[in-house]
Order: sequence, then C-alpha cells, then structure tokens
Amino acid sequence: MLPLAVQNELHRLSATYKIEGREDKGVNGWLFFALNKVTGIRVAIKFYWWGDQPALHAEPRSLAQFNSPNIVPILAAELIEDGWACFICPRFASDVETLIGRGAVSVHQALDIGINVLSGVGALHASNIVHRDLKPANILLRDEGIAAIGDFGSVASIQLATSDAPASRHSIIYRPPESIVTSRFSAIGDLYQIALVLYELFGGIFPKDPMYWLTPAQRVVNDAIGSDCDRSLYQDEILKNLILAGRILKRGSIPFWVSTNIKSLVVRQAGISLERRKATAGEFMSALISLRRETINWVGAEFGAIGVFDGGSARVVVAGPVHYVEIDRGRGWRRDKAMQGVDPSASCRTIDRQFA
Amino acid sequence: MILCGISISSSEATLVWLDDGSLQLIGAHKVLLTDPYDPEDLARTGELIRQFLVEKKTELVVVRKSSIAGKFGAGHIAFRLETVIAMSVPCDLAFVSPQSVAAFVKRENSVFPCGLKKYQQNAYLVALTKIG
Repeated sequence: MLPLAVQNELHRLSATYKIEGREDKGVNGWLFFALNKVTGIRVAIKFYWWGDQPALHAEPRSLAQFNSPNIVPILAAELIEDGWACFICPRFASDVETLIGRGAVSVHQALDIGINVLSGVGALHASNIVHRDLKPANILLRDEGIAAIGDFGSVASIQLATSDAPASRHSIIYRPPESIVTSRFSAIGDLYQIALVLYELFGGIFPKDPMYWLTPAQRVVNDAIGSDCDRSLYQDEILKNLILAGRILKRGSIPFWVSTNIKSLVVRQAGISLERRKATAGEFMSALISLRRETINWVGAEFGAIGVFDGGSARVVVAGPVHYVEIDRGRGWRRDKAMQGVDPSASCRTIDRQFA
Repeated sequence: MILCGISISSSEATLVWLDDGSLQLIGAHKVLLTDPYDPEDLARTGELIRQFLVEKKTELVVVRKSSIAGKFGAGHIAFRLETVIAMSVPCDLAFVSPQSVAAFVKRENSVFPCGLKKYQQNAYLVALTKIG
C-alpha cells in the first residue's frame, strides 16, 4: 500500500510529470517511471524512507557527487512528509540484466560494458566510496549502449584506517569470498563483482535460484527444513561455502568464441586469491582494453559463432563433431581451411590473430 | 603533491607517479595506442589515462614534448597520444621540452628510486625536471 505522503507527492508531481508506470523488482522504497511534460525527458522517481536519519540519504548524495557518464546523474531531490524523501534520475533504456536475458551479447559489447562500469567505479573509489552491490540489475544502459552504474542504496565510505567498509547484506551470490570471511568490503570487492557481471555477459552459467546450487542430498535436507527463514539460511550457507571454495564460476560454461585470455582474466578476478586479482579499477580496465584489441567482435549464433572485423566477417560453423571456418570479405561466404584450428576455439583464435 | 611524469615513445606512453616532497616512486603504468584511426580506441585510451590519474590522486601531469622535426622527430602516433593525454587530464598539465630534460640531467645528479625500471627512467626525469 502506497504511503499517504508518497501519494500526495505523486499528485503534486503529476502537474509536471506524467506518471507512466511503477517498478516492483528489487527496489527499497517505491520507484515510478514518468515523462516530464515540459522537457519530454523520461525519468525515474524514487521514494525512500529516511525518518530523520541523514545517513539514509546516502544514495542521492552519492549520485549527486559525481559527474561521470558512467554514473547515473541526479536531476532533483527533495524531502516530503512523514519521513519520506524522493529523488529524480533520468530513465535508462535498459539494464544489463535484461540484456543478458535477451542473450547474444557480443564480446566487444560485453568488454565495453565492463570498461564503462570500471570507469564509474574508479570515480567512486577515488572518492573513497565502495558500491558493494554491483550486479547486472544495477548497471543501466543508455540508448547508445553506454553503461552507467545505478542503485546507490548500498554505497559505503571506505574507512581510511582499514581501507574497507562493513560488508553489505545484499545479494549473497555476488558477495566476494573475503567479505564472507571478514564481513568487510574493500574496493577490490567491487572489482570482483564486475568480474561476475562480465562472466554473465560472456554467457557463463550463473543461476540466481539457490536450488540450482544444491546437490541432491542437500535438496533432501533443504526440503525437510520446516520454516522458510531456516531454509533460506541453509541455502545461504551452501552458497557461501561454494564462494569460499571458488566453485561459483564454471569456466567451461563460457562459450568457445570468448578468448582464453578473457576467460582467464574473468575467472582470476572472480577467484578466491586476492593476490591474483587486479587491485585497482585502472589496472582491470587496462587489461580489458588490451584484450579487446586482441579479439574481433564475436557473437554466438545458431550455427556456432560469427565475428565482425574491419573489412569483413568470419563465422565458425559447428556441425556435431566437425567444424569449419568461412570468411566473407564482401564477396560472399568462402570456406577458409587455413583459418581452421583443431577445435572451434582454436579457429576463433586464429581468426583473431589474423584480423583483430 | 603527487606528480605524474609522462614520456611518449612511438605508440607507447610511460606514466610514472612520484611525490614531489620525498621524490618517492608511487607507481608506474604503460599505456598503448594501437589504432590511432579508431575513434573508439582513442576514447578508451583517454579514459584509461584519466582513470589512472584519478586513481593516483594526481595533482600535476608533466609530459615530455614530442619533437616536431629533426633527427629525433616523433611519429604521428606520438602526437595523437600527446593530444589524447592533454584532453583526458583531470588536473593541471605542463609540457617540458626534451632539451629541458637533457639540461636538467646534466645539471643535477639524479638518483633513481629503487624499483624504477629502465624504461620508466625517462618519465621519472620528466617529472623531476618540473620540480627542478
């Protein structure tokens, strides 16, 4: 039930904004979509309860602090009655979760999203802020495909003495292993979460349903637990153990057209060893930019994979145990045995070396 | 104050950060521009440089000017890289000529900090030249 204060404010705002809809998924508070009748800009209006606790203004304050194309800008913010407040942001065309759901994300598109997000995260870290809840649903996409970080409901300031902040209780599946052990969250934790997002963008299997991660024996135990709360705690515990064991990612589930170097970087960055991870957003971004230069723009297709390069396209057609390579340089598809490797992945790498 | 000295050779920029008080080495990175005709690659390179500078809380960037003519004249990629750097610097920016760096090296007997690699020495000297 919408609080009276929010209803009144919506009524007041409706003089300027045409309310078009409401978001129900994963929102703390109330989120409405609207159209500004004057400028014609589509916006999102978020209502949240602050109840005289200035700390609860963290989200709009963080958004207002940055002037980065990779961080959602804030257009207005105000206090309303009964401890409620609201802020207005531009409405984005889509988010990464929707993009992943649609499938067929190209390698360059995935890397570009990673680079954009790292740029935004770098700006946060430079101001001693950690996001703590980077996941596909919180990464928004502009019409032109540029990614921007949204939902700053979990941001926290890094304590200079310890270089970290208390761990967030959001989305256990995205929680870094070190945060599970120490209940603290540092800048490298944000980079871990970006690696998970990249893993999903590249097509790695990462189900959100906790039941997927349970073994048959654990499912029997789970079903025998009476209360929902205890069952949820049991599932969380199993997920935590998987994260701590570094078994949350399945490298083999990343498709063959994604290069081995990209797979290695993502798996290393989302691994349990802190020493093997890139320590800063800049270093991670630098690695992604180098890898982007080493590969052509591959995308999955029904027959295998198709890649676009400057001056043509290549496709690796997989038909059961055999595969072959075809190149089109503007005169139709022609088979190219010289590009063919021992397996589809090797063929893609040969094509990358030749055309990237 | 944290300074960043940048020396460009061919398509590669070497960035070295140091503290102007202690002259201690803070960090170093190498940035490569592979395709100077790809606007997206130029933008990404610029963004990466900006990211490194912001991350290290850089207050002043000192770039060694590329020689326009002569025996040691720089290639066109070096000039593009110089422009990309100039456009992506989020703080103060200064250019020093190779002659100033050479004069500084002659005048001062610089000791390189431990951990500085050979290819980073030029960028370090560029930053030192500005400190004087």
